[in-house]
Amino acid sequence: MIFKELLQDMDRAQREMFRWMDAPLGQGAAFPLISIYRNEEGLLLQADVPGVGPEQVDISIANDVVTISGKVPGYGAEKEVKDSDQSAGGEGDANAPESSFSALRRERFSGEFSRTIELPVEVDSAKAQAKVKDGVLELILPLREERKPRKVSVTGA
Amino acid sequence: MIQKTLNKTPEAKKQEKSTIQNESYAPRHELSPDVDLYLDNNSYVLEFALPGVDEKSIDVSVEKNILTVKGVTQSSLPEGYELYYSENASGDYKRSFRFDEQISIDEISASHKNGLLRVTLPLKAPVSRKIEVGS
Repeated sequence: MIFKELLQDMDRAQREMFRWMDAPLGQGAAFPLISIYRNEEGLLLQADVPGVGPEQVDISIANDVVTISGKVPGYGAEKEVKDSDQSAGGEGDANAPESSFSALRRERFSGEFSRTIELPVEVDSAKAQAKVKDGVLELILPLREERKPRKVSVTGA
Repeated sequence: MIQKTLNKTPEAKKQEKSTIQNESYAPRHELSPDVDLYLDNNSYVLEFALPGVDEKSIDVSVEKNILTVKGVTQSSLPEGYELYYSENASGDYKRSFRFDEQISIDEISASHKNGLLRVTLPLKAPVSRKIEVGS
C-alpha cells in the first residue's frame, strides 16, 4: 500500500517536471540536451550541440515557448556515404567519385533536429540573446519587466 | 522523425579484425564522449563530441598503440545563476582507442571546430619493392 503511494508520488513529480518539457527522455532521447539556469534577471538556457556552428542553428520564441532547430553537419558534407556492399576503401569503377568514405561506427547524433521547450517563466523575447561557442548554445532570456521581483518600500504609518 | 543511428554499421560488422578498437570508456566520475569512426580513403577518422571544451583544454596523446583524448570542460555553472533543470551531465571527457600496426603513428593529426575534435589516423602505405636475385 505504502509502495503504491510512493510510486504515485514519483509519477506525479515526474509529470510535474515534464509538464513544461517536451518529449521526456528515454525512448528516442531529445537532441539537444539542455540545462536551464535562473537568476533574478531571467533564464539562461544551455544546449549541447557539438559540431554545430552559429549558422547551423535557428532559435524562435513565441509565447514563452522556445524552439531550437538546425542540422548537425554530416562527415564531409560535400561527400556521399558509400554503399554498404562496397568494400571499405575499395577501388570501385572508373566512374566512382575520387574521394569517398564509409562510416564504421556512429554514436553521435546527426542530421536535422528540432526541440521545443516551454519555459517556466514569462520572458521578454525581444531582449533574448544567443551565442554558440565550442558546440554549446547559450540563450539568455530576460524576464518580462512586469515579472521581475519588485521591491516594496515600507513606510511608517 | 529524428532517429539515432545504431552503433555498428553493416560495414563494421563485416570486418573480422578492427584496425581501431575501443580501448576504454571513462570511469564513472568522468564522461565518455560520443565518437564517430570513419574510413576515409587511406585514413581512419575519429570524431569526438566535446561540447563546452575549448581547444586549449583538449589533450590528444598516443602511447604505444593507444590513442587517448581528454577534454576539460569549462565550469558549466554560469556565474550568478542557480541551476533550475539539467539534462546533460557536466564533467571532463576521456576516451581511449587501441589501434594496430597498420596505422602510421607519426602521421596522426587532429583538428577542432565547434566542439568537435577530429583525429585522423592514416594507414601505412603498403610496402612494395623489387628484390634482386643474386647468383
